[in-house]
This record gives sequence, C-alpha cells and structure tokens, in this order.
Amino acid sequence: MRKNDGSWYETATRQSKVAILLIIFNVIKSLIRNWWPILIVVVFRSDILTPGQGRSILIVVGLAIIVFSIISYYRFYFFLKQDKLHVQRGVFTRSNMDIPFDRIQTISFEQGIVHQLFDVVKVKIDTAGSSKDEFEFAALPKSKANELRSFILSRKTMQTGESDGKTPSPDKNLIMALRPMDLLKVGVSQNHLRTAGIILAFFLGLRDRIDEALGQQYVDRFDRFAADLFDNAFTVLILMVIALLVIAFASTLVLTFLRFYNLKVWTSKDGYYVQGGLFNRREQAALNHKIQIIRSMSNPIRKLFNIVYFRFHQASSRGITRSSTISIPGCTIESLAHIRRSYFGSAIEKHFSHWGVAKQLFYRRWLIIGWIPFLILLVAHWTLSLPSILVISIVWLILSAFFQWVYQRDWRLSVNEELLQTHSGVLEKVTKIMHLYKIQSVEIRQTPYQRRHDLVSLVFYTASGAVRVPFITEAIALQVKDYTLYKIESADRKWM
Amino acid sequence: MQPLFENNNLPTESLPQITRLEFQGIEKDYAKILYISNTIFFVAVLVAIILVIMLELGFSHWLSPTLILAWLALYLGSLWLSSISVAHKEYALRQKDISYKSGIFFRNWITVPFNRVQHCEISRGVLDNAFGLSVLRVFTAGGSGSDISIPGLKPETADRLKELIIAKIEAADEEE
Repeated sequence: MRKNDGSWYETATRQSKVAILLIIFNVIKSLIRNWWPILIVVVFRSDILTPGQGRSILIVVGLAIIVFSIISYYRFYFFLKQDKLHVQRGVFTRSNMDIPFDRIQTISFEQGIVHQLFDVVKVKIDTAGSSKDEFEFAALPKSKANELRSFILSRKTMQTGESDGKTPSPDKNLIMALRPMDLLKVGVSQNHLRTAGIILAFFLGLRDRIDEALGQQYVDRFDRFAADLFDNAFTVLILMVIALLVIAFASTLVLTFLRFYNLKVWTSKDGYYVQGGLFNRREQAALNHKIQIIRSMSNPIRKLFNIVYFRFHQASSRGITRSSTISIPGCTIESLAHIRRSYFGSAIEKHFSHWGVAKQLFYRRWLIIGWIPFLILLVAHWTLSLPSILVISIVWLILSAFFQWVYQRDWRLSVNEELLQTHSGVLEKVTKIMHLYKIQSVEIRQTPYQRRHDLVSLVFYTASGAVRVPFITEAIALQVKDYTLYKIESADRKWM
Repeated sequence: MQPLFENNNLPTESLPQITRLEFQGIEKDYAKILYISNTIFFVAVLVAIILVIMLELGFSHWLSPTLILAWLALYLGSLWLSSISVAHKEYALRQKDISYKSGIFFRNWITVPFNRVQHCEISRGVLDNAFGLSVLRVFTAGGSGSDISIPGLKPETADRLKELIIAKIEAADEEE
C-alpha cells in the first residue's frame, strides 16, 4: 500500500515548534484550574511565605513547566503508514497509538490567537470508538494540516467509497454569513436573565470557595458588608439587581461577538459547515446522517428582528453523553426555511396533524410553580410580618398562573408521515423537528394523577437527547407510538 | 376516532397495535432478591440510627423509639411494595421490537425496536446467582433512559431472549 513519493507524512514528524508555547499555556491553565484556592491563600495571606520563598518557588515551578513542555514536545511524533495514523507520545509513560483511517470520523481545525499569529492550527481527530483514541495536535502548520486531512480523507473515501469528513466539498454553497450588525441583533436578543443567573451563581460559588481557601474571618467580613447593605435596604437591592442586569447584558454581548464573529454557514450534499469566532476560529460540520434533531428558538425580540437561534443536535461517536450541538444564532426566517427544506426535503411539506396538551398540565404546573412558593412566602409573611413579601407573593401567584396557562395553551405535538415536531415555551418558543425513523425508542409514562384523567407523557429517545411530550390523551399517545414504531421498524435508512 | 395521517396510504387502524400485546411476567422469585436487598439497606440504616441514639440522644429520649418505629414502618412498607412490584414488571416481544413495563404507581412502558439495539447482554449479581435468576439488558444509542433492563428471568429464558434479539439485530443489519 505504501506510496514511494516520500511525502513528509510518511516519516516521523513533530508538530510545529509553536506547540511548545501552547503546551506551556495548557499546563499552566490546568495547574491554575486545579490549584487556584491554594494560590489565593498564598497570594492573600502573606504570613505563609516570605517574598523570597515565593519567588524561588515560582522560578522552580516555572522551570519545571518549561522543561516538561519541551520534553513532551520532543517525545511527540506521528506518521501515516498503511492507512493508519501512528502517534507516539507521553513524558513519563510512553504511549503508542494506531488509528486506522476508517475509524476516523472527523478531522477539524481550530485557531486561537497564538495559532493565528503563527499561521498554525489545532487539529482535532474524532474517532468512532472509545474516547481514549481521540486526540489533538496542539499545533501543525496550516499547509501540512490541510495536506494531512485531504490525504486521510481521500484514502478513506477510496476504502469506503463514501465521502465523510470535515472538508467542505468543492460544491458547497454559502447560505448564511453574519455581519457585525446581525451579530448585534443576536447579542441583544440573547437570554440575558440566564447570563445574570450564571454570574450570580459564579459569585455565590466564589464565596464558598473563598470560604474554603481563606477561612471564616474573610467570609464574616464579606457577610457583614452584605448585611450593612441590606440594612439600608430596598433601594440598594434594586440598584444591585439593575447593575447585575447591565453587567449580564454587556457580557452576553461580548461573548456573542467572541463566539460568533464572522459566522458563515455552507451547505453541501453531505451536510452543513459552520465557521466562526473572533480569537478562537472554529469550524464545525453537521453531517446529514449524524443530525438527529434540529431545533429553533424564538423570543419576542428575535421575532422583532425576524431571526431565530438555530441548532443542530448531532449523535456523537461516543453516544449520548458527548452528543454535540452546533449553534447558528441570527438565522433569518428565510435561512431557517432553506435549511429545513434542504435537510428534510419534501417531508417537511407534508401535512402535519397537531395535538395540544391537557388542561391538567396547567393545574399541575401552577400548583408546583405558583402555589407552593406562594404558601411558603405566606408563612414567611406571617412570621416576619413584612408587607412587601405579601405583595411579591400575590404578584408571583398571578404571574405564574398566566405563564403556565400560556405554556399549556401553546404546547403542540405535530406529526406527519415522516416527521415529528414539538413546539413549546412561553417567552422563548422552542421548536424541535426530527425524522421519525431516527428515534431510538419510545416510552409512555403515567402518574396516578394522569391515570385518573386518561393522560400520559410520551418520551421519544434519540441519539442526541430525549424529547418529552407531557400530558397528552392516552389514545393519541398510543396511536403516535404505534406509528413511530412502524416508521422505525420499516426504515432501512441509516440513522447515523 | 379520526385517522392520524390524512396523506397516508397506510391507515393507522391497520398498523400493528401495541395495546394488543401479550405481556409476560417475570419470575416470582425476584421478590426474594428485592426483600434481601431491602433488608440489607434496612439493617445498615438501623445500625446507624442505633449508633446515633447511643452517642447523642440516649434511649430514654422520646425521639429514639419514634425513629426506630418509623424506620421499621418504612421497611415493612417497602417489603409490601416490592412484593407487588414484581407483578407489575412484564415484558413482551414482537417480531420487530421488545417492550418492558414497570411501576406500581408511576408506570413506565418502553419499547425498543430491534433495528435500534446497540447491544444486548445478560448480567448476574450475587443475589441473582443465589436464586438462579438473570437480568437481560438491552442497550440503545438513546442514552441510559432508553435502555431496558429486565430482571428476574430464568437463565434459559434470558439466554433464549438474548439469542433471539441478536439474531434480529443481525437480520436488521443485513437489510440495511
């Protein structure tokens, strides 16, 4: 099988020298991630180490990291032979790895800032099989990476006779590109409350970690400060909430720009290719046969801008725990229709039957989300006798009634000859569509409460997550289950 | 009821109906395994409760007998539920899929088509061995929620089912 043109990849090759720098970064990053509570202690409590000791420890650790990284760079090499990728690596324990080309699912490139400066790429090799066979080249020169990829994929194609890989085929069509103005729309229409929640959780988590790292006295000081704030109370609290929302808004905007800068989407006959990101340019592929569910999310602001947040859910080679999603924010309604038509073909145009969910779902959800917090707040009101709590609890009860009522009213399960679609949500409307034949199994669940009303919940499991339909009529559920099983069992198309 | 799919040359009434399935129960002996594992858990927690009483509360404290009695009541309740739950675990095979039902109050009924089965195995714990029973596990790519695990099968039955399912998977693979 061996060709004799003496290509560089047939002899043992190291990565680009830039890799040393990147390995150093990675080692430092993982050290900080694992040891940061100790670092905080060392930095803030000057009584543990004298500056001289601190400096010498820093120098020793720094040197160790550099030596480790250089050794790890020189111990790593790879070559291609007999349709296999051979990799040898490891500092303390040496490991040899052979990856046959036909096991390689995708080869993808990623570029961080350093990569862009030196014109190198990070190469990720994704295989069908256990995760220990999956690995990354920290840095390869771009031209070599391209050669490697096209060589492996061409050999693979010769073997299997089907093309399957990350390389956008020559006949790919650009269907979407986000300009900075579009990106602004995307940023504005993101869920800022979620970011606020993450920021809040981060600071609360930070408080606990500081507690562990620095000891009680610091936390007491922090709490006393918080208590002082609370004493002259409500206005400050409201100011803090506003500040939090402003920060959340700003950071979603920044994150959106970083993640989706200059996002481009292509289609080809194999699937969809997405490229984007400011400092970290990533390219991802959603291959038709791996796509399980397509999902679009709308909210009032997105509706105003005439866009949706779109997502492909793919099956991963390692199954559900690592299932991968590819996001396309700022997808216009026309692009959405285009993607749906190109992925589902004529199936999307066939007539859908729609069903709603039962009123009992509203009662159940209002009880849990509305009444239980209401009663708890009511008890708090009686014991603390704060009138503001009473107002908040009543507002909560009414608001939750409205939200849960809309939730129940708008839930839709739709099925046509080939496809299953669910539509749900109050402010953020989520639509999921999938091929019936790609479903893995169907479950019917029934609680005692549902049994009294001849209702059930239906669960459709796919290779990239489950789709649940709550509280639908038992007879309908049985019919849909029968039909879904019939479609799966009579399908001879590959579902992945 | 009006038909499901208007543009369908196959009327839904003629689809194979899953409600007409004949379900098969599991071995009654499985209840004994549940009794024993419940008892082990009961004794472990009981020891912990007694330790707490000895070290912290003292036997004369009103809470001590209450705790023990409450735990005993929970234990008896769990035994009773175990004995009923066995009758509620049942499975059924059709030409192209396998179904498993379980649950007394919260009922689940999951169906996995053979052409979506990833693999299928028989497992046996210590207690299973003691009572001569096997567990049949059927795995799909849909995550742990969509896997089936049927306990309390006679080894012969489990073997037969496994062979059958594997034959079906192979048949399905060849079709593709």
